[in-house]
Amino acid sequence: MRKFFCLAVLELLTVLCAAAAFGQSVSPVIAECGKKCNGEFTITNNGVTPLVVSVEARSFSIDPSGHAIYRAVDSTVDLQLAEGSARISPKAAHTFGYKLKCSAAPCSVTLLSTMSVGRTPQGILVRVQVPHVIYLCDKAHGCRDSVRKAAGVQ
Amino acid sequence: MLNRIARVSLALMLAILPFSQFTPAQTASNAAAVSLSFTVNGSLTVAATPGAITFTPTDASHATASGPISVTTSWNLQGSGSSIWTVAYFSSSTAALTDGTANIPASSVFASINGGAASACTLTNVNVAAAKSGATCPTIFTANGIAAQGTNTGSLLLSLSSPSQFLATTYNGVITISASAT
Repeated sequence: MRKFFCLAVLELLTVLCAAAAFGQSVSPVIAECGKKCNGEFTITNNGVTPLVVSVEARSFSIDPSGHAIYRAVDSTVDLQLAEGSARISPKAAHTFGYKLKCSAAPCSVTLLSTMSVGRTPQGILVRVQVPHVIYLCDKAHGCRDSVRKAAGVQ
Repeated sequence: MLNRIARVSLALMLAILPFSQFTPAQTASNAAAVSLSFTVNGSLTVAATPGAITFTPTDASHATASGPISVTTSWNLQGSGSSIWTVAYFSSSTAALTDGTANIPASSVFASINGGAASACTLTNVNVAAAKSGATCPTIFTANGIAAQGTNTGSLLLSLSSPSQFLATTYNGVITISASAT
């Protein structure tokens, strides 16, 4: 009976966690770097349950409408992430550091942070993903604008 | 003549003396400058409600979701003119939902955005972060040249429609709501 009660409570908590609103913020969204690029970004858990965030990298180019076109990280990119994942408490934030070098500049890299909450016994679990966008040029100032301009973005 | 000059000078001095003696001295302190600085980093927030949905069969090959997923994209960027795009995708086109053996492909998952007509989540779009071809749902929100600050709320209602009967089992899946910015 006691075991059944514990299982019922666990199931209820799981359903409540899964049903709760959740979201995540990234700050800053866009970073411009010169040849030496040491940066960091912060992920904030806006929800009321702890979340595990995983970070993955993508190289990208930009189409004329301004959208990123993602691909696997280029071989010319040397990216060192201090951490690949982290557990973030409710209403808390975590800062990820990185070092980026590109043998061919300019280069554009996105660090995608993904988090999900709860588990669902059946159906679909919702994950949220936000980007930290890094533009690396010979000089940091105006790097993003020059990349977008070269892509034909109005 | 000299005496007259001396007397006039003395009279003038006596006339001025009381004022110069009792007028308070004016002093000015040095200006203390306090510099202020305030940096607000740009931010992008994506929130989805609820965190999971379930499906209820309406017949042997159709099912409706327990409710729409409300997706709110909020941004505060440095300068205007950026591009933001929010989409939903599955990590596999052949197994959007699965029990480990039996699969429901993305072509059987339909998405209605903001109450519009439902379309299969089979879009091939390299703009999607995961770059999974053929498993992207219709765009939830996109804008180019946006204002520095803004919020968009959209709804994503999923449904299942299969050309054949669903196998009797319990299916699970993950949908990713992904925002990109450039």
